[in-house]
Amino acid sequence: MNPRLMLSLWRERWGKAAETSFKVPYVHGKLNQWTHWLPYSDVWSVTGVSASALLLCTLLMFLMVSVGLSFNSQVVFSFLFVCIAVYVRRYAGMLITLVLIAMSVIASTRYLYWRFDAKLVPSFSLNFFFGFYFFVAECYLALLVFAGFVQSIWPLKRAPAALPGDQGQWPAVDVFILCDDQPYAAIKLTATASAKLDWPRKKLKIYLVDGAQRDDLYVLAASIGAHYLPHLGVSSHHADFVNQSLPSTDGEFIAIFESGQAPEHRFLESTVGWFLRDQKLALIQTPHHFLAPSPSQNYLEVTNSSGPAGPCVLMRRSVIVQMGGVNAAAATPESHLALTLQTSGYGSAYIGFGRHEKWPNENHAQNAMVESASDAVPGVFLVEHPFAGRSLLWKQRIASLHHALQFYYPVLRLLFFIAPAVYLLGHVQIIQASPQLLMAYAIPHFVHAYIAHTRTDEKNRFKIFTDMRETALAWYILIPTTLTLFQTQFKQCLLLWTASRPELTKKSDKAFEAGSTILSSPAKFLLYLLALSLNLSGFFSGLFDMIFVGTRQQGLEVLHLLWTAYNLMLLAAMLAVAQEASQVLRHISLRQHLTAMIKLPSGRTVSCVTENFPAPRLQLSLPMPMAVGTDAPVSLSIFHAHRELMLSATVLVQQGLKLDVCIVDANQKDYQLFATAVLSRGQDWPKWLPGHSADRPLPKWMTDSLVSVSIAALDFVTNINKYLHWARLDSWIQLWKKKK
Amino acid sequence: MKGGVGKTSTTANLATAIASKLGPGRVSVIDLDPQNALHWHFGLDSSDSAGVYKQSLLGGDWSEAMLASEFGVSCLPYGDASEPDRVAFEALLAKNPDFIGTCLTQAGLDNDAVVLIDTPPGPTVYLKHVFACADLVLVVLLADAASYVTIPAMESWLDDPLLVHPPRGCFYVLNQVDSREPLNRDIAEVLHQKLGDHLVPIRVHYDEAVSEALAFQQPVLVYDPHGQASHDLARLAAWAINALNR
Repeated sequence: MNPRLMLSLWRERWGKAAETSFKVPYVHGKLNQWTHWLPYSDVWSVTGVSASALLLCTLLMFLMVSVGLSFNSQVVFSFLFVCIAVYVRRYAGMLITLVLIAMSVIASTRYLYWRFDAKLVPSFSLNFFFGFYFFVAECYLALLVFAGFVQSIWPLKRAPAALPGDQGQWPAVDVFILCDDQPYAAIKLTATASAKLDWPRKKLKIYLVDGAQRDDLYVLAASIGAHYLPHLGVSSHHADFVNQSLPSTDGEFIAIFESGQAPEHRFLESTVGWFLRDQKLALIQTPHHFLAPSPSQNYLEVTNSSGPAGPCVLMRRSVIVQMGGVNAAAATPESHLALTLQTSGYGSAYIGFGRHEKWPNENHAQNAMVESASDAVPGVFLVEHPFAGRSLLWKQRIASLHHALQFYYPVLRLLFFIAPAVYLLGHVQIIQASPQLLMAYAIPHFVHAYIAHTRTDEKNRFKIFTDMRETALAWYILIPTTLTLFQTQFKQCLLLWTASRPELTKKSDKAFEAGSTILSSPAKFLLYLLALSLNLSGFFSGLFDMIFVGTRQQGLEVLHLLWTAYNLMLLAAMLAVAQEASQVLRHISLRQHLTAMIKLPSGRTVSCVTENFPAPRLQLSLPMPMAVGTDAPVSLSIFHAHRELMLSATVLVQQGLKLDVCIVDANQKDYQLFATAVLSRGQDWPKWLPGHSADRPLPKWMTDSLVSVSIAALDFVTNINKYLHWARLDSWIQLWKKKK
Repeated sequence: MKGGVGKTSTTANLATAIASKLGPGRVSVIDLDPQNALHWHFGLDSSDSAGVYKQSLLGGDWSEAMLASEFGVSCLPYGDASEPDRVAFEALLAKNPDFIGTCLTQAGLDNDAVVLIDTPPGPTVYLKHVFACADLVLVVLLADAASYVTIPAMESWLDDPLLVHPPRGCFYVLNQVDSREPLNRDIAEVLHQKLGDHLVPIRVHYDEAVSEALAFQQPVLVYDPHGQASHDLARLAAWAINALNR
């Protein structure tokens, strides 16, 4: 694992081109038939069966956590446990996920219990102080992980709610397109796509909401039959624009799109139905992102909570007006609004469309996940105190708790960075245990946590990325976090924090950039240097100690050296990632390369690729230079999936293998329609939903041999007679008896 | 099955495309069309070979009559058969329902060899033989009204219970698609809906280069590798290899 490989993995994580893939599709096998059959078995209907099964499981879990084992038994126990997890994780299905989570919880709790039970003897020394602090930090981490698991289990899947058959009964919808400071091309894309939404024309009004007076937008609005609403002198906050636009509009529901998004034509049809079904529902959010998926672990898909920044939302006007509009003062208005709605008894929902046919345990080609839920980033959590809200469900509370815990996690993360150096340099023993025993307990704890984590949060498959990201962000978050702990008026800190987390910035157009900004300010660089030098000096002094002095326990020394090496690797990888340029959205780059065909008047064709697809002046990449003059008319076909669009175009200029063409005016309308269809954001959603592959942490030959060994062992245990017979043990025994 | 849809060109070009993917020496084509035109696509002279009809009538090994081309594909032409010879060959086939399959087995081909067979239009005796021994059957269609109206006849012929069905299935492939023609476009769409999964998801576009390539006695992939038809045929080859491996 070198920094270069880490960079490659990092790129894969953000959906960039990567050299090696680490995905293996899930297996559907006998185990799946089992898990499918088990929950629906008749056994559960017998009285007492489920209760006794629950009791038995609780008892078993308690035993597994608390029973004290010798070193050897602990090794055998955890090896078996890990083998089962490694075998089972390749299979698809929700029940398998639950099993893996349960195994992880058991392994972690067992580790923590052992740490607390045997290894934490109060003696008021520096060792005890550090050890206790470290133990608390680990408990905190475990709590964080468990809360994360609880959130991510059991995603709800429900079909889109149907609208009334008579279109006359459909409600009126206003579409707000937020145009402030946005490029014309992005606004045009959104506006034309909104005009093509499947909704009765009389009941759909489109408003271009802007903070300035722009003539080109007037023209655009007039050309598609929309209204232009400039609000001069209003702050640049989206929430203010929405509030200002409320009095001059009258639709029953409001859809808000940030410019640059092209809603699919079925967007309203598939979302508004939920408002009609549930009269208490006031807010719907849909997934979104521009260049790269959000760097934070995104539980939106599974808990159906509202995201920290969702510029694509649908709202019920009456409720919003009743609430007094959207609170612009909150750092994240959408979450704040969701929480306010939730506490006053209204619902907010998150919808994602999964169009994969092989959804685990799910046969419907088209399904949607909707649940009234709320969720808040820690800032909102502190303001609103969701635990006080009567209408919150336990899962939502855990979600809030999880976010709040995550907020303070950087403090601990820095501790994990410093701890091994403290031991190696200052001879402070944080963990009072023999290294062998520690490893026998800690390794399964880490392995199971890794396996369960990659299962529940597949897109952030490599825990190491979260490590890298959190480490990168820890520097930023540390100061506001500490201040927040002591101040009640922490708005400023929140703003600081918001600025430090790119996915929460106002426009959310920047992909992850913490890596590149690590080196941007001297203070942050100093912190980085401090961590690096601590770990480096710890590593070398430890190495020196072990080779030349040898005063301390050899095993413990090695353990800490490994830990420091891991820290160093993370720090080095951060440097590698820092080389990555930050990405800024300028124009839609999605699907700009489509295959195309040029047809010359002679009937000959040339297969080519578009370079800047939705642009009016289209650039084509040719396989060879073409004998075609300027202003020559050509016929151009653009392909997408099964669709082919044929256009007439004129050649503008040819430079090497690049050919610029201009679509003729008569075909412009078709071209725009095609662009809207190809770029509709609804089609991208399935890509963001949890996928269907396990990752491959070890080389194939290693996992294969591990699996085959465990299969052979199982086979031996279950068919022991066969093997006895094969070994002719009975005849040997008889022979031995005869001799006797 | 239908005449004038570019079966022979498609066979020759597809064979070249498959050969360029699998490497030379693995792909051969056999011409069962008495028009004896397939070898032209590879720039071969059919008088160099006995041809499939004569070799069969004499009871010889088919592999001896194979001609190697410079495009990585070996070709077995039909041969310049006179009318009585053709009738005799067809009578031989009618008498011996496994004849072509047996000849292919005896030709000493490798296990991983790919053989493409071109058949004459209509439900002929050749077609029955090909169905009996083929893994995959491709029916070439044009996106025009004439092709559309022949589909029921083809389907009824395919529904014959006595017909041996190829294990990898029978698929339709659209040839010479020209989206400039509204009718052509509409029929392509209708065929897509009507045939569903039985239509190969790759359409071969109309390209002047295909007929020009024949005039130069070359496969289109060699004549104009960057043309749309060559592109489509390469994708069709990838699809066919995938279908055969399924």
